[in-house]
Amino acid sequence: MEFTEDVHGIPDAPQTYDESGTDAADLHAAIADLAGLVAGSLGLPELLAEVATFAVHAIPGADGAGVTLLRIDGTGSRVAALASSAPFVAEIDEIQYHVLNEGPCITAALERRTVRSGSLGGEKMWPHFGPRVGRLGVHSALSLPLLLPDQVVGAINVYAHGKDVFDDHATALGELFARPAAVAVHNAQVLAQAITLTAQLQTALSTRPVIDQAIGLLRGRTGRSAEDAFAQLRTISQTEHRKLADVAQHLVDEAVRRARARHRPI
Amino acid sequence: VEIHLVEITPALATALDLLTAALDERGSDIVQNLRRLTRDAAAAVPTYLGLSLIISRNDPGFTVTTLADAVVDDDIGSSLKLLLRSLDTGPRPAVALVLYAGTPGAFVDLAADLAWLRGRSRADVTLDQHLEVPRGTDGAARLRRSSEINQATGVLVGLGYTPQEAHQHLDARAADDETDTYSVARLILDELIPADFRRRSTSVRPAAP
Repeated sequence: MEFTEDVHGIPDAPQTYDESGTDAADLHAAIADLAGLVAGSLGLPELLAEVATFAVHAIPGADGAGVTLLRIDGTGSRVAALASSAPFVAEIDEIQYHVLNEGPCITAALERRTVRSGSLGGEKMWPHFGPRVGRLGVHSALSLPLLLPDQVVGAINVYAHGKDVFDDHATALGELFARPAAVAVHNAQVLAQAITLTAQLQTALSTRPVIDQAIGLLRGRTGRSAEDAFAQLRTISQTEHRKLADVAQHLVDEAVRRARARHRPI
Repeated sequence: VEIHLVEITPALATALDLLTAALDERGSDIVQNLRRLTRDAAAAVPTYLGLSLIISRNDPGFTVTTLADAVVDDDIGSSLKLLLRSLDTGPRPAVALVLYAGTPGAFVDLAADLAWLRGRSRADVTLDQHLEVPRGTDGAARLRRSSEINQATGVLVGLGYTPQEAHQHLDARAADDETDTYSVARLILDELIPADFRRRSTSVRPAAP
């Protein structure tokens, strides 16, 4: 991944030259940090946490940030993974995703647009979320969708305790940061999925043979179908709180032990 | 070019369900995870065409391939192979993920990301060396056959064989009958009829092991 994004698109918000230069430098540094992330051989949760931390560095006024990967389908959105830069962000995420299912990240992801609020306590967009988070002393929010050409993969949520903290300039910087961040987290997600699938296939291919042998053993003893024999194995597994493969291995080992005992010379 | 991702075939889904059942993990679904990987790889790579998962082990070798509609080898302009080695030291098979795309160079950025993300010591990333889809490795059929051979092995274990002796018996009988091991296994399983199982089982049991 190459991060070649320049910052020429930063709008001319009313700032001094020094402020603008500092912000641009912070953004450059944060995007460079994004590129450097990959050198650490990170897992997806760790990478998301790092992206959240870099977002705080990149966006002026931010006190904390969270990164959320969402699966969006016809029935709504579901959190696939999330991480935050600070405990108060994790608390807000809990309210947003698990308690209320309402808030800036969900709006940003579903509507594929940046959303912000400078006074969460009275925010009409999120009549339940806003006042609740306002009572925690967090009054400004900026949510940036993580967009790929054909889909939204999640959002970055940036919070500040003060009111009206995120202006157009901060929003523009955030959007510049979000573009490479979307690519980075999505590629990490592809890798995480491949690793998960790999581990599952490795495990299943290692355990399926002995499970099939146990199924055959039960079929031979009872004349039952393969489905019935498997159900019997599963029942034993659940009743004895042992893994299916362990139950199967035990059945096969016992049969072999008995066979050897019968063949042993007296 | 508009790409239509092919759904996982019913035969493949059934075979992968065998593996999901072997996982014995609540909520795990290999078919669902394969669909997600396919969908997300398509979002990451322009002109994505499909993927193969190649599991290397002696018995059975296993390859799963999902491709966009009507794709042939000539459509593949680039590939990315990612070798995903086991992180533990157990005797688990190695898995290679191969992604295919229509445009040369489509995987350059993703390959760089994946190589760094995974750490160079644990992954091999190869570009454009796999422009043909693996043939002759019908993963669904191999899984089903392997499952039934192992069930027949279990039947023989119940008759007094060790698993190794049972496999040897299946192979020897296949050689005698000039057929394959799977056909012998099917014959043994087909003879498992409850009413006359004991009488018929003597016909599948050779001389004492």
